[in-house]
Amino acid sequence: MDYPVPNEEDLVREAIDGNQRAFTQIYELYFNRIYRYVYSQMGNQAEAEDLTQDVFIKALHSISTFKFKGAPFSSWLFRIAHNQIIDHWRKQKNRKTVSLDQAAEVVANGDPVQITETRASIEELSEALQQLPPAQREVISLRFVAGLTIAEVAETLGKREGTVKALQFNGTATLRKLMLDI
Amino acid sequence: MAKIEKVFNQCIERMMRGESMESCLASFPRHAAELEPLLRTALKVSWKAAEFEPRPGFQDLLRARLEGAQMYAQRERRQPAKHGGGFRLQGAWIPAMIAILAVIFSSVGTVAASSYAMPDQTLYPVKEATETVRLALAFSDTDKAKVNVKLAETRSEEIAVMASEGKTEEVGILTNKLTTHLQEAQLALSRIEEAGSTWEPVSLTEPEEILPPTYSANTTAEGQQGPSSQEGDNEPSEPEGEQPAVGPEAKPSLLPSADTSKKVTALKQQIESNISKNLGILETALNETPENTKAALQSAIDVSKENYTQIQQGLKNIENLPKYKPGSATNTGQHKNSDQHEDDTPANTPDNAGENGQDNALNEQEQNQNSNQEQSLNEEQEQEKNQNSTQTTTDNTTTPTQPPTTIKQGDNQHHHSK
Repeated sequence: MDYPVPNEEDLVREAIDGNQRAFTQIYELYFNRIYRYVYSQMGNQAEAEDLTQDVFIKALHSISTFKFKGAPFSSWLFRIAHNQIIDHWRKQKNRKTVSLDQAAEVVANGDPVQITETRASIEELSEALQQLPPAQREVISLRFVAGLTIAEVAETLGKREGTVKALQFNGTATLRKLMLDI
Repeated sequence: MAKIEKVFNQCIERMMRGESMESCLASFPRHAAELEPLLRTALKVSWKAAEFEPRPGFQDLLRARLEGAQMYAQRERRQPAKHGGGFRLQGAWIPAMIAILAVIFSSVGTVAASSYAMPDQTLYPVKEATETVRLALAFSDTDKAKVNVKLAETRSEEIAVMASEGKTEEVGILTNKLTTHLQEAQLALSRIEEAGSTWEPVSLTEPEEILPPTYSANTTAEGQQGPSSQEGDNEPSEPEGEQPAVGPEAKPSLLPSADTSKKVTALKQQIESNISKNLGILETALNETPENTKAALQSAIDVSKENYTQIQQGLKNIENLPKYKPGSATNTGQHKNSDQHEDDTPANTPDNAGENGQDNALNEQEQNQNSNQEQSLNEEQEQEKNQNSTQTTTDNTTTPTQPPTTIKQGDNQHHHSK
């Protein structure tokens, strides 16, 4: 279930002023969304963890530069994640294939039936996402995995809202076909 | 834009605001057949993505790292002269300065009163500062483990009070801090275990050859300077390290003494006593806490139990090391002042080291171990700083700059997955 984050702006302002607790709370608010977004792009748990760490470390060191003038904080943070992923891909010429065993086992907590179901579920989605064109995958991940608004996605990716909507529709249509085929 | 695309995007917006898919489809009956599978796909992605989870404990670990990085950054900001100049404030000087400032700017009564402060009270930062000093003054790993477990007990007491007042958010924050303390204790125990496991077997005749140990001038200087030295060749005693903390001539002095095994036993007893007390505090509080905070408190108990299990395992590992077992062939030293040193570790000065026989020799060796551990920590911090510096450079290309205003703040709806 989705719910609005209370007093985020206050937290961000306090974090900008160097309040350690405020940054930790921001971390708690965004950890799952950032991790899932990164994972949806990487399809690999270890890489997703490394990049998630890099995102928050970078945010910690850069948050003092954030100003409430234009983009929302979420876009700022997801843009760091987006840039980290791009940097990672640039460094890694050959991207690893999807590796989801550990993730499935973690989620399933040891129940063999649940492990199988969860693994299949995660694999299906992740494999389908990996087959999307990068632009569609970015939008689908930011919209449906991270839960950003159209405006936030547009800001994060530096695209027009109309473009994001088109990518959202086309990505969903492609994904539907891919998920039926798998 | 095609009609179906427009309708689809409208429905997605409405569903992300909480409206049901059926309701959206009812609004567009002519497109429902084409729309439904697309909307189901979007829902499926959103639903399945919630199963993308990191390894257990990763979120806690990263939080601890971030808090450590924040503390380090704050400490860096407090240093008036980073480079250059004749005096560089760092390492062992920092807690001393904090303590001096605390004396100057706080009355004794304030500091004493702060020991009872709760996180929602104004004196709590004083309490935290005092704890920071305590941690900074814990030079040996034994002390680090003890202090962190003791501070975990303090956090447990605070959690119990906050839970009884229904302050869920505070309980969550304190649980994170509790976890950090317990993980720090685990790390300290790991280092003790590693140091123990790297001691090489020696014959019973060797101690006579190696006592008293000699130390290089460089080592002594590092001992005085604390962790500031960057060019020292000495490596902290790690499993794969070829050289122990001090020079080759002093290597055999790493042999544990009979007192060392006693210390391990005492440490085990103290930590197990703390564990029992901490869990008792939390579990008692669980019976009295309001319903809305029970889950948060239960989480604190679970986290504590998980970490305590690992701490107990760490203690068991240390205890099982042959060199720590009383009566083992290598456990033959006679060092009466070792326990005293444990309490007097801050007195890590050249004046009391390496002058009179075995006791001082061991003290000096332990001090050098502490110094090298600090040096190692400092090197790690320096490395982190360098990495941060590199990251800052990279930030120029990867950290987003503030674009011109194109979105109203009101559009910024955040959705946080459960």
